[in-house]
Amino acid sequence: MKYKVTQNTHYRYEHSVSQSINQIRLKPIDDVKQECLSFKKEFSPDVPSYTYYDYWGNHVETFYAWEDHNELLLVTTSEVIIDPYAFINTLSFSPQMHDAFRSTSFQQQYAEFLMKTYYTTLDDEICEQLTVDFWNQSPNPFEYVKLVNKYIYDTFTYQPGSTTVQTTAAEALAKKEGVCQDYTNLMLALCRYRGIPARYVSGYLYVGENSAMRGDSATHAWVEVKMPTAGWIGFDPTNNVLAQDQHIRVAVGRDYADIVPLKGIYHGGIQHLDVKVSVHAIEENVKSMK
Amino acid sequence: MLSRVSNSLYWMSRNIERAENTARLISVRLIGSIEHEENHWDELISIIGGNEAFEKKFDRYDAKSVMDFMSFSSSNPNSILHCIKLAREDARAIREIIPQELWEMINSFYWDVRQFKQENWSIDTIDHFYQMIIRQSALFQGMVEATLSFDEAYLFIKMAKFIERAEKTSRILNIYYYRSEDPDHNDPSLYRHWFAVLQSVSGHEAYLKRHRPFISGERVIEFLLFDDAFPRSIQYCIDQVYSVFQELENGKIEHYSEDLHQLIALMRNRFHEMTVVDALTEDLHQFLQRFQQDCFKLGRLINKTYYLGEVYV
Amino acid sequence: MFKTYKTESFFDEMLQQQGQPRSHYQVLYNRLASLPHDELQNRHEAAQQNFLRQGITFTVYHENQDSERTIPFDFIPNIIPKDEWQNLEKGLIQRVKALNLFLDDIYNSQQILKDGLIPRDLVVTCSHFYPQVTKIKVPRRNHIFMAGVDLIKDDQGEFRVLEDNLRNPSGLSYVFQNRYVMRQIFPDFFQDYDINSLENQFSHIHEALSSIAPNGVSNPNIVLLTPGVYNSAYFDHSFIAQQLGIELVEGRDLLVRDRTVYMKTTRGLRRVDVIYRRIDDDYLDPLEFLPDSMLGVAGLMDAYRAGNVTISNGVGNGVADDKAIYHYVPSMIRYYLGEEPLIKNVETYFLRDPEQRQYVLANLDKLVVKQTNASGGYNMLIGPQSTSEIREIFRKKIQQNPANFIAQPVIKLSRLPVFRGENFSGCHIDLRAFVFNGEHPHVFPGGLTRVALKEGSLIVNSSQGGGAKDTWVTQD
Repeated sequence: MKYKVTQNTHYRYEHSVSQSINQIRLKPIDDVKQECLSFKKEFSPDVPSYTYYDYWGNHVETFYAWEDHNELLLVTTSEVIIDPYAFINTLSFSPQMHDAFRSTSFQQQYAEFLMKTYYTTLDDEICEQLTVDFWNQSPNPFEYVKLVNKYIYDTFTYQPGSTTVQTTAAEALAKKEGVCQDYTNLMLALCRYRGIPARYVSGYLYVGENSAMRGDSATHAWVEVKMPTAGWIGFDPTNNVLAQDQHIRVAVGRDYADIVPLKGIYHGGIQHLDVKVSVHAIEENVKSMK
Repeated sequence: MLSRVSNSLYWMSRNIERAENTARLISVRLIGSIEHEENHWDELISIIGGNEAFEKKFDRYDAKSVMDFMSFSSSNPNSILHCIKLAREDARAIREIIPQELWEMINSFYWDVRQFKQENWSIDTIDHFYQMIIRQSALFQGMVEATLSFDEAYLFIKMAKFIERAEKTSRILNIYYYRSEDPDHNDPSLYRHWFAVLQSVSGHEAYLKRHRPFISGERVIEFLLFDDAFPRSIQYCIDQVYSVFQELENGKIEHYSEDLHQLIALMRNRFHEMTVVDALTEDLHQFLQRFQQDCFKLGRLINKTYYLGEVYV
Repeated sequence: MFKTYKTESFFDEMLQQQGQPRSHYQVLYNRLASLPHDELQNRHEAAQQNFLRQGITFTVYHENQDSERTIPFDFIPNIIPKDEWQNLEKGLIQRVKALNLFLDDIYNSQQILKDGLIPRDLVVTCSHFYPQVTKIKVPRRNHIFMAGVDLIKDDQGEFRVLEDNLRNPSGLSYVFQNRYVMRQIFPDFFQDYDINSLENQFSHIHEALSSIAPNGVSNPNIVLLTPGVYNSAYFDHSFIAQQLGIELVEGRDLLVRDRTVYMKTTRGLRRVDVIYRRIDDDYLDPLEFLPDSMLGVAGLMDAYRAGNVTISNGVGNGVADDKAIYHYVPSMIRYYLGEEPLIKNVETYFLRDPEQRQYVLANLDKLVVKQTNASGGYNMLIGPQSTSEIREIFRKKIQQNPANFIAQPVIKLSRLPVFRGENFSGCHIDLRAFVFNGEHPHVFPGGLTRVALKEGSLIVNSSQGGGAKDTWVTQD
């Protein structure tokens, strides 16, 4: 699939502001499963910006809007090809894979994605109690993740506005409602508890014309887990699906704190942020030339 | 020089000056009350603009409460202890800029004031305390003159001192003026009143030299507003602020300092062009209040001009 | 006055078992014996007063009240003979060199982790590991401009490293003030001693800071970034800035525009090249670390990343002085330098290892247990001095989260006499040595000798009743 994603990020301020420094993570990932053909950004008013790649491989742009301004518009446009054949639906675990999964070297290699972070800290007893049946029922970790994916989807009520970007897995679990970020935080906690390396993914969701997919068609969040010999495999607990060619990945990290798409510090009045995203499928059945 | 440093120099200087002025104000009242029953202790609180905070803490404006409030109270941001504490904090924040001796002097000063607060002071003994404050402030000024290079830092200290003085003199006059409405020269209570006003700004001796022991409200007001040699008359203070500013800017007016220059010049001219008769005809209270507003504006413009504090809110 | 003094089973720096002074203390011992008790008492008090008058105080927070205290000073110096010091110097330089290479490795290729010398998770999940600073080209690959290495002597009189401080080691100013007061009030004690003077040290330190300026800027604008007057180490900051002749700035004095750091002066903005920061990593830049930090400067990390400013000590150094990583420093020295460590560590048990944990839990009354992310002598169990209630609390804490703890045998820290008015008593000491790293590594002669003033106490931290002594390195 080939997509064109356009994001309008509109900052408006009640009083004029200055000395604004911002960091954005909006450029789609470029890797074996997804090719980012182009990424363009336009600021108005025009301001200087600088890029680097962070520890997790995400593209980060820092821009400085120094002079007094009352609003700032940022339009980013990307073209992305996702290879539909790069995905799997099942994974059969050989005894070697089981061994590899349990090995110290595997656990060590992905230590960052097994740790408890601000958003994903959950009591061990709660994790145990929630997942003991799924774990025992599953022939392998991959099947376990599927069950957890479905469990969260079934148990949670999708309720925009019920949580904030600060809400943790523990808090969301207590309410059993939230948005994609909350689903994702809990899923990360439950995978990591069982020793499955799991990372937070932020990106865009292609909902198509008549899609039943939930989630802000704008920005979405889901999970990727690492299985021995396989790459990172995407799961979307908000929709109870594997994240495949409708999920356009922008950034990955241990949790939301690593991938915050937009953040900034400035002097002046209260900010109103308005984000509009459109995702269009340009061509189907397009394969990356990589 | 870092803007924050000049800000600290400025406030260190203002706070020490403020503590001294407060000490003198109380001391004069205290001595006056030995011979004469004094019932106007509330005036002192009005001068420092602390009535609201005072009434939250005390029910009566008696001598002891007023002195406690003005000297040591933590709920009074202008209490002597608080001023010295702030001055010391500012000095500490720039101790690598000012001479070590000056820092040690302010530091010891602070410990002495604190020590006094902890002792059980009485009305009979507290004047020692006020005399100590006045002496230490003089010591501070002497050390500034003797140990500091005459550079930017020195000029900020000096500017702050004169702004604080001018403002305090105007506040004192504003509160003490009401009793002068009776023009009878020979009323002993009136004589005593104006004499005390002069003492409150250490001006009685200078006044006597100039006018001999003929004290009238109008002359005292003229002396405190327009005398061109007495170091606490408002005109003298504003002249000093003007010349310090000229020195800071090497006599030039740059784009960034234009507004500040304009205000200082305006304040200065107003004093040079007016006489005491004009001031009294206009209504002295109004005249003084406008001056205090100008002082407030002046503080803000200094802030803006030299990036003191936060420029961007 | 030393008649009642007992060295007990400890190594005493001044006196041998039989009560005879060691040779390098002989002169001082004779002098002390010749002085009347009253005079010592008076001079002792004068010394404490001197610190208060100079405002060399630190702030103690206790039950929501803050009070200012001086660090009690004791006039018997810690004298270190020249040859002993020279060996120590070599060991310190070796250690800091290896730690610097470790930091450079961790924030770049992580080769030491790939080679399996240190469990990877200990490093990458450490709360002091900052992914934000990976791959940043640090000038001269210098992450540690100033290290404070805490040394102790065991009961055999051998130096060992107790702790590395690679973030914001404080205390340097106290070294100078201790010497200053000592000279003022006990000038006669220096007679017949030839010791290393401290006067020229700040030129070394300034050189080291200049040498790490970005893009080889000559005559860089260097500032010291402090959290402000309320910080307990503020005196240190102010003193060092003054002695180095550099500007002491707070976060609000700086701003970052287009990847360049400026300071706000009364005459406009002035570019900053090197920041010797005394603010913790988390507070440096609200854009990339704690968003509500009022102490830092937004955009600082972006300027650092662009190579337009040097931040020293480097950001993320805590990963190398963590109590869990400490255990691996000898391995680092072998790995990076191919040398045997010259100064030993104190033996350390890792509580996440089940076998070691079992041993430690069975011997809590004999060991010292420390939390890996704490400092300042807090959250520490000293087995032999603890009650069974406290041991049970620690047992629970350890069982809940074993990886957060390490344990060490109780070291019989060496002692020095401390003046007690009537007589002298032996108190445990440690030594914080300072190593500066610029074009060449440089060890500050002596360092800060801290003394546990409470009878029998092993905790030398000033926040918990510790005091200080002057430190002399002899030159002959």
